[in-house]
Amino acid sequence: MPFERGAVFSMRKSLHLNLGVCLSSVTFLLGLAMFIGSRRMNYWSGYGPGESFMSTWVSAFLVMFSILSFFSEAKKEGIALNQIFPKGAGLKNMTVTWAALLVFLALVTITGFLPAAAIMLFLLFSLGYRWKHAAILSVIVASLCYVVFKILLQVPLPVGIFGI
Amino acid sequence: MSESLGYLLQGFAAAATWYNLLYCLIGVAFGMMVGVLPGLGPSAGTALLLPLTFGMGPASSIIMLAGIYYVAMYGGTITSVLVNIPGESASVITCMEGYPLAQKGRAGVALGVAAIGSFIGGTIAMIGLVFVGPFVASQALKFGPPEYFCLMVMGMTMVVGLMGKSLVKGMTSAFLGLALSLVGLDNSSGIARFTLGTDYLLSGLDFICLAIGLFGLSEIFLSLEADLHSEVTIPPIKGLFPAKEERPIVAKSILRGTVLGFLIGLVPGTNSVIPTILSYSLEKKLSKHPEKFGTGVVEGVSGPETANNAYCGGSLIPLFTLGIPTSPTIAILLGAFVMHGLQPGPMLFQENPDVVWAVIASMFIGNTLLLFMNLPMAGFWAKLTHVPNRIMFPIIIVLCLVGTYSINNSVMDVVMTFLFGILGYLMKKGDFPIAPIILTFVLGDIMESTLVQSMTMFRGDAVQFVQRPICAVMLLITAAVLVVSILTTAKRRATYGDEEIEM
Repeated sequence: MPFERGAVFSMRKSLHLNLGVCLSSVTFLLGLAMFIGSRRMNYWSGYGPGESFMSTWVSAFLVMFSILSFFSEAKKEGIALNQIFPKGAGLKNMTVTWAALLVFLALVTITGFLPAAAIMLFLLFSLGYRWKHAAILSVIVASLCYVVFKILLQVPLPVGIFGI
Repeated sequence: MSESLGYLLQGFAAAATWYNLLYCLIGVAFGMMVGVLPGLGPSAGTALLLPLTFGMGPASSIIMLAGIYYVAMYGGTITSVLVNIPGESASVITCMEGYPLAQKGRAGVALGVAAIGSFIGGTIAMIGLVFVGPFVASQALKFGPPEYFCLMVMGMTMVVGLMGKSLVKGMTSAFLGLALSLVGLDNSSGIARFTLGTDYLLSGLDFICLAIGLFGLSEIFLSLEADLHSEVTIPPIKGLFPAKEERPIVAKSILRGTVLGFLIGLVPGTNSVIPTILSYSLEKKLSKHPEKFGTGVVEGVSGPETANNAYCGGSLIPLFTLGIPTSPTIAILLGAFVMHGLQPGPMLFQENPDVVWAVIASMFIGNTLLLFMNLPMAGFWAKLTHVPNRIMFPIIIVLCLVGTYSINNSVMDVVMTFLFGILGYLMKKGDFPIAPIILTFVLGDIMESTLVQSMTMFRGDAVQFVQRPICAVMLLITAAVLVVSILTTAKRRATYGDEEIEM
């Protein structure tokens, strides 16, 4: 069959860079890294399979299915990269929530659980309440968590410079 | 059979202690809450409570977690009937008849038949578990490492092949879960694998971080896309029992739903949505007035609701007897067993009869609690839907963080949970199934050890797998599931084109 430039062009044109393609690429890279890592370990020891026996096969299959998934996803329109996150109020909710979690993670080892949780909760509650109400709610919920988990259930919580 | 009854009575004695009754009540109440609140499914609910069970005994913790599992199925019904919002996926079909019934002023009847059906379906399925479970376990005792490995391969393939998603994406997720389970020290050689040179990863990734991140946080991230200020109005609930002429029809639909749900529960890879859809279709086919379906028909609620609770009982059989989780929530339950030093499988009935029979007995008690908590208290649970997401989500997020921190007192665990939450969010948006990751992550350790034992036995000759009859049958079933999945994909592609090839 003669080579048709048009056909190749239309095939290229129909490939999409979307969320599915990105996720497949990430799993492919992870599988590839694990496969290379496995090859540096023992596949077979003197009496039976070595520590990389299972990981070699699992990573090889992960690479194979990631490639299949990549091409199957690239053929679909899927969710374009600029459509992954919502717009308007949804985007604000997502951004504030992720930022609140990052603030908590950054502060918790320094300030301890109670202040870090109160600040995180303030940011989260401010999505649905006025700042005064959000502040009151965040202090109440963080304190309740502290009392229930740390004092009543004896669950260890991160302690910071304030000793709480 | 009499031996099983004897053990069951001992189980009732253990389950009826005040603290186990309390944990059962907490599980049932939390399960109702999880079911009622849209955006939190039984998987997320079970994962959230998992860290809190560290200090508890194995029987008490599994009694509580199992309570969430089977009761959340009913909790979802309340919002389906009253506000047309399914609290969890198994209740989607209930909206079709339940909500129209509520609009006709018969919300009470819809909730009543659902509660009675759930109780009957759940109880009969438990009776099935009592008698079928020990028999299956005794047969599975004949299994060696190769049979176990093939069984897990079969279970994994059925989960991926039948769960209703793209086979390729399902397999990618399944192998991703397996790959993540390999991080940490190798069990047999003690050599560190894929730890990136950090001490944190030496003990491997934590199951709870994975479960809370992928199921709990990701679900909240998705729900944040919607309006946080929405409020709902609830119709009045009057008269919980169907009219006299409807009672025989409802009774028959409950019986059919029980059988259907229980049988489907035995098959790995199915989920609680499948029996509800099949039961609804069956009721419609057998009905003398199929044209009325969609306008508020009582048997359209009782059949599917019974089927999803009977499914819960049936799906526990593969877990208790073979150690195979059939759904994500069951995988989290399996994780709870392992966390408390128990290994579900054929030896469970022999090595830990005190735990397994106490859990089974508690489910009978939990089902009865469900009936009493719902027939007179449906209105109370429905009021939970008034709690707005803007107050619920921050509280759930902080509980997720406390739960994951408490595993090892490590902030890194919280970081990992957040990262898995983002991964779960992106995978759900990209329509990559999450369930296979959890299922294979839980099975990863035992799959590796049985494979290594088998290959050592066979001296590296993998062909010997197919020379063992039980292995050969299981591998044949695996191949058949794969072929059916591929053919279904091809057929759908031919019908709908590339955009519609999800299975």
